[in-house]
Amino acid sequence: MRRTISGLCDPLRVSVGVLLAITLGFYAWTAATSTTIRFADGATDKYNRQTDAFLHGQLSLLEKPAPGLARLPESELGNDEILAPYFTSDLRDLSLYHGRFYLYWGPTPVLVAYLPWRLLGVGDLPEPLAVLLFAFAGLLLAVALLRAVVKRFLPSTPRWMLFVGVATLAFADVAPFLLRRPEIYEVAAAAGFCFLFATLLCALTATLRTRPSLALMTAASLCAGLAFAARPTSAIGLLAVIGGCVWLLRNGALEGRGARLRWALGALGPFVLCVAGQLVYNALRFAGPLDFGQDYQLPVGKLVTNQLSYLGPSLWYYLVLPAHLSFQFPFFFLGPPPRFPGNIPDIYVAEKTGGILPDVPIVALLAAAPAWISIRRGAGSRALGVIVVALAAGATVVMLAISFRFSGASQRYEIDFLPALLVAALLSWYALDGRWRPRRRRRARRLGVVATALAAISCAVGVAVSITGYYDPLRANHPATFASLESFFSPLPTIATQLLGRPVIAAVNDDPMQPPQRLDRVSVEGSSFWLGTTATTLQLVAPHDGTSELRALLLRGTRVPRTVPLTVTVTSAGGFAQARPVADQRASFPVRLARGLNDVTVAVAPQAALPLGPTDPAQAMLARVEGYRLVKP
Amino acid sequence: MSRRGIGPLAVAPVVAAAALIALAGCGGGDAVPRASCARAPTAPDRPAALGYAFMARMRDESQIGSFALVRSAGDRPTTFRVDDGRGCVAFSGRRPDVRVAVQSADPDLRRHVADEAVTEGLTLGPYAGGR
Repeated sequence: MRRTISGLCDPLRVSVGVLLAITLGFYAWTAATSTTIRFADGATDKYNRQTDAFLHGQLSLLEKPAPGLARLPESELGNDEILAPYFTSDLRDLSLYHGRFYLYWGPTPVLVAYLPWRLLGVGDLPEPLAVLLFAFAGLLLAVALLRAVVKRFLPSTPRWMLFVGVATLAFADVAPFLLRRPEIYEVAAAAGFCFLFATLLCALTATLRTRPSLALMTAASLCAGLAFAARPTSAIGLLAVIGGCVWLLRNGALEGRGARLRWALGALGPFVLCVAGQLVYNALRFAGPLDFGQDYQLPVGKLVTNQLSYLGPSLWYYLVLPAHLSFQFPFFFLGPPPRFPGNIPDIYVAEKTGGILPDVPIVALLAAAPAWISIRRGAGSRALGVIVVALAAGATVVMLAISFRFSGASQRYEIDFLPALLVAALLSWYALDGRWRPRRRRRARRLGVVATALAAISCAVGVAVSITGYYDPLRANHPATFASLESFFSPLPTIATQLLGRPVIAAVNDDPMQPPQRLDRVSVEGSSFWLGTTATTLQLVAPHDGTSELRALLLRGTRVPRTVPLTVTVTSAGGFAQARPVADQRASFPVRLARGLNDVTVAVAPQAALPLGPTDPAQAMLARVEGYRLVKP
Repeated sequence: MSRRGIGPLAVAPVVAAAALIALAGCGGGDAVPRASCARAPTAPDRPAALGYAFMARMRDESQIGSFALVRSAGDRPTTFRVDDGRGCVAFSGRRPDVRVAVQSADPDLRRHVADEAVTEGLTLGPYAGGR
């Protein structure tokens, strides 16, 4: 009893518990502010539609395609003109095969979450909640894995380092980003993450117990199978199951033919059953057991996959491209742009993606692994080295496989390999610290400072990019909340301008990613924008109250007649407005600025009727503001 | 005798540099034949020239690196030389009915000009620009 109470009062447990509670709150807030969460029947998201289908005893979705669409041959699924009359956004990425709709996403989330949830009788499982459940469970499993390895191999690791490690896994990972767009893509990815780490944790604990546990190893195998049926690349965890069995075999822990057979069945049986189930599921729906249905997606049809030419751009985006640093809240923004500087295949499309090396710099601690692996000796440190190398190698293999497979890169795919890299990097840090601390205390302390700084940067970038996500839904759906956060953090850019000694233009219409795209631009001075019938707002940050001058080359739109005079008006703090004619010359506008964040509006007004129809695209391009910048008056 | 580590921090920059070079150097590099306005004399920068804003936008969006107004006489279209001869872009007509034409062996440039023409509502026509 006393031991239980003292365990509960353990400072590390308490602090990690509080941190995880905060993390859960942050994850839940992110999901809740990204979309509407409804606890009711009749959900129309794809996994709930698949659940309805399973409950009706069929594999295809209940809804039927329109007759014209149903008759469409698979070879025409990417034909925009033929699809146009039928295509709606809720059909996006459904697989249409032989006149029926299917999901190519794996069935694991339906089997382990959506169907059981229906049994509770509280309606359909909302997608955001599904992502939250899998993402948070995955985090808990990753933390448990880290703790298990530390407890076994690095028991003298300082507690504060473990705390930093948990914070890193919680916030530097991709899970918060997934929650900013909690849709079916993220449900499948988060489920893969969750079951991958369940596999790793079960396999490790099954292997390292004083009496190896066949039950845990069987559970690991089942989790690997479920990971496969959620996201096939996540099945790489099976290698940990096999590795654990081999390790036990070599250490004489599996003596006797019967024991070996039981362990072989336990370690492989559930996985083989799950894979066989998935293959049968495929064969019953599509052309064969290895057909996952990705070639029949609407509205793209068959995509070219498995190309070496995808490797260059994908590895660039996954490893190298840093997030764009900006004065604009939340200060870090994912590219591209800038694009991969080499050759990009025509069909290659990169969504928002951040390079791990600059954005999650704590993974650089993996570089320390050769140092402590070569120095440390003994079975324990060898095993630790094997674990760290296996995690890093497995993550690298998955990253290469995804880069080779898909004609595009996307931040959400990093959930498949970044968490394993994070765990490996943290273990590498702890191991090197353990090596240095007894005799080189100062060096260990410096390492701790560097590692903590890297962890802080990684977490800051991870949280920042999760505020924006793919489509900035927090700003769009909850503008007041976004404005409050922006205001709360406004001292940071204000102090930066005070150090700089001048005001800066942080963004145009809240977008800091203005061309020309260069990574060394933290403000947008020198950029240009079109002015049309809608005013443009510039976001400025000023170090103190005062006046500055906005200078730019004002160009007349290509199709605006010279006979129509145009006037540009710039309005700053307190309604201070200044107007100048658009004369294809440089113009200067005094602007009044208050310390901190300022909005300055720029509007153009024709002084006579324009010979342009109301829907003419030139209405949005009446004048061009070229090379704008702030200068001291 | 103590056994020292491999010194990964010393090796890492070399590996990173090699990887960057390998990644950045994938493909590209084919020489594009120069366009007909490549050697034509150019005029001083004139923001009032027809199509200047169009060209400026292409430069700002990094679709082209630079542009220069080609010196021409009479009624000839207003022609801009792109990237020292990668292509020529010519504008003609009276606002708001402006026509644009491109001459280039580079399909990317031709596509960018066509896209921009659609965006701005310009008519894309055959090239008959300066030299």
